Amino acid sequence: MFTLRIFFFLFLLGGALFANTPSQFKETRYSYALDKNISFEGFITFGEQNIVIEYSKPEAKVLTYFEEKLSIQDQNGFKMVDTTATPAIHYFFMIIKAIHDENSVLMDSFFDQKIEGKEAILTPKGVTAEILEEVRVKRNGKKLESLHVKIKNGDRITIEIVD
Amino acid sequence: MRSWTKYLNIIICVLIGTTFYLSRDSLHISTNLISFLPEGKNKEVFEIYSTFKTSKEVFVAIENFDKESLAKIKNIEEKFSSSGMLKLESNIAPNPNLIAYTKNNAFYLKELNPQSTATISERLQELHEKIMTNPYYTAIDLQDPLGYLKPNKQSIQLNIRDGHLALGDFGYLAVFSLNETFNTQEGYEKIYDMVHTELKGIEKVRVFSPAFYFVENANKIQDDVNFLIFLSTILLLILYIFIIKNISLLINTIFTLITSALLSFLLTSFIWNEVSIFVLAFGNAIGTLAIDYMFHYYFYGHYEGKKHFNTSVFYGFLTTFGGFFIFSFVDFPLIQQVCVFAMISLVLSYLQFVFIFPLIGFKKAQPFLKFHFSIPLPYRAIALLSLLGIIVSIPFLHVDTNIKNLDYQNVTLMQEEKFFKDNIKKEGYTPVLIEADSLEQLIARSNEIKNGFKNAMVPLSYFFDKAFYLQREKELVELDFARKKVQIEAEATRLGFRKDFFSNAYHENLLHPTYTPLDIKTLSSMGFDVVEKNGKYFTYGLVKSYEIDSLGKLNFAHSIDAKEIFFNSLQTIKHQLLLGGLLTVAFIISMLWLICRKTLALSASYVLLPTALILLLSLMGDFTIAHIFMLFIMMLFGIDYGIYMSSDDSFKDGTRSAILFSIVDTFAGFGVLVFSDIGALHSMGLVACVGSGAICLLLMGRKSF
Repeated sequence: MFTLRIFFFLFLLGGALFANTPSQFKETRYSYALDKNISFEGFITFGEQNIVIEYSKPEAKVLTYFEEKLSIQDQNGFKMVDTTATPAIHYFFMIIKAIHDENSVLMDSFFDQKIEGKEAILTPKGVTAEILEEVRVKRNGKKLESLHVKIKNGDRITIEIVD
Repeated sequence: MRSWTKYLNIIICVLIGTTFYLSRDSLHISTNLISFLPEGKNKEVFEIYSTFKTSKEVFVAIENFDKESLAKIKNIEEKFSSSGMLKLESNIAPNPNLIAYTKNNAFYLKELNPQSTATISERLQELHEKIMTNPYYTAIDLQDPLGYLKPNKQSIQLNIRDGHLALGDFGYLAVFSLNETFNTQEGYEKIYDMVHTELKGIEKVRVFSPAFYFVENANKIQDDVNFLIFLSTILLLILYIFIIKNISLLINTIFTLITSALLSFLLTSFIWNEVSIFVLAFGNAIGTLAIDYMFHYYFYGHYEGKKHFNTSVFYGFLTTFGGFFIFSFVDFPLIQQVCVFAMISLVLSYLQFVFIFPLIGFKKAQPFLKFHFSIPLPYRAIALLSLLGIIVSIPFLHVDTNIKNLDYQNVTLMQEEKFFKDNIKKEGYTPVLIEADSLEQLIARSNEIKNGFKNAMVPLSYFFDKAFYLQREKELVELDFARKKVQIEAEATRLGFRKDFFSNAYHENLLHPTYTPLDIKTLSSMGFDVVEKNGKYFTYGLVKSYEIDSLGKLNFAHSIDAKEIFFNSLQTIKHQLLLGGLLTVAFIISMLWLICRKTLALSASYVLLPTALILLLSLMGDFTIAHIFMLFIMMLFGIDYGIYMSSDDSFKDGTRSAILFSIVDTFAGFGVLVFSDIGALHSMGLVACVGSGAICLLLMGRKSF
């Protein structure tokens, strides 16, 4: 569960980089377990108080994070998750906020950063290092171009901005 | 002879003062009430608990959840940690040793759910679907892909915002424990100074630690006692100047009071390692009682020429001394110290005023004020009505056993404590000390409390004992994971999982880890609070306060509640207190009967009226042990006046003045305690005011027997 949440928020992290208006993204996950690439597409919006992620592919789903609560809406209905009971969610939500708010205090707490050209290479430290191998963030000015996450179990996540 | 006897009193004072000065390093004053509780299990329990890091944690909170607030709290964490006094406690980033232990013993630390209805095929199919379609990344638990284990539920959840501990909706929180070497009064003071220096100028910050009580209360009590001693001394000096009007006698009296206070303190320090600061405040007031002897001798002309021995004064001294003597046998260090201090002080003052002062010789001066005013008082009716009042009040007497009400009520700090407790959701919990003969038993008992009390939080219950290990091992064997692993591999390959992907699932090392008993060093390295004392092992837990009564049936768990501990301490000495009280009452009755038989109603009213009024005071609120103790002292004062008034000389001008000045003097000595912010002293002052007022009123009356 712990690992799961970490990656959920790593995904959100990518979303957070998009900006305050809805941004289209394309995500490719490589699953080491299945030795397969899985593609997702959708839009993410950063609000003042919430984060909304709307998936269009492979299935239509809407995720909303608001005041420590996460809601998931799909064809099966509506589900609420109280994240206060799961500290790890809050812990890794930090990463999303850190990038969105350009909060270096937060980032420095969990990553060592190195800049190589347009790319920022984040090396996890502390608890983060237990799970992640490396995070690469590519920007063009303030605009994100791509996010690449290497996970210690062999999985990979690549997020690219479409527009 | 006259030439040197004139200075005899001063010589004694200088000698005692020099001894006191030379012994000053071995004299220790303490402001901590707990250290003066009766020795026994209750006190031991409290002392052991106070050695745990959790009992003195420092909490700092910065308002708001924004970049600036986070930067502030991180900065504070860094500064405090680098001070060498505090250690940052963070459950968000768990202890590496604990992580390693948890990894190796995962199948024994989590809750086992063997009743899963899903088949292996269904479960793996579900995992496959999640990987392919879940909107968020799905990680597979390679140790337990079938989900037989789930983490134990925590009673008090951590509140986290932005990857940092949070204090409710207030802001970011940082929790620090004290480094071991700083778990002393001096350590608390250094930490208090460091914390407040570092936080100076930082806005929207709140801070609290139970250790701060030891610093702030000690300072406050010290200031309060100094103020009381100063106020009392000034008042008494003014009073004496008006009453005595003889500068030489005044100087000698002051020297006598200083001598008796210093010697009493010295001798009390020889008996106890630490003397309570309350004894000093009380001791100062005791001096005003001793000065009564001087008043009687002075106004009756004993210092002008040779007169017969004053039996009234002797009996007055004897009754007061006797009362303190009786209570000095109560096994309660604070009461014993007060009694011993008072006895030494009284004896010394009596000897000086009665035997040395006549040798020095002082001319009697007429006081500025003379008391001729009197009102007719029906002493017999007063005595009877008072007795009735006492009988009616006693059933309504409710003794407040909360020791905190005797201490300084540090409202500001108490508010901060409540603020943090409310937001951490620890309000309503009572700490519990768990005791065992071995660490193995301590872990078993921690689990027993965790399982027996719905919302209990016992850190050590994270671990398991040998019995649990054997039971869990049996349950795991029954689940036949060897057969399941074969099925997992077959199903996984069929569903398209990578070959050998689940090869580490339900591994033998996890199913059957070597059982290694834990030791204190290992537990400590994992951040757990366990202490060993005299072959016994202790840890702590938190139990909901409303469930604490059920704890009584477990003889290995003791609640850490100041109120409870004081109550239990009182219970252990209850029979002694009761016996002391009964003996004092019997002593007072015998003295009345022996000395004041002819003036029984008059003399008895000096005891009964103050007692009745003080007990009626109890109907307006709770009575603490300080009220009760002072009640007995006021009864002893009362009998003094009963004895003085029974004498035929009591209507002579000098004696009447002496008696009236005595009570005004007592009022100034003990009455000022009412201005104290310290519960015990305030209560004593209040009782003294009521008692002295009653005696004063009675002194206005005519002799009506």
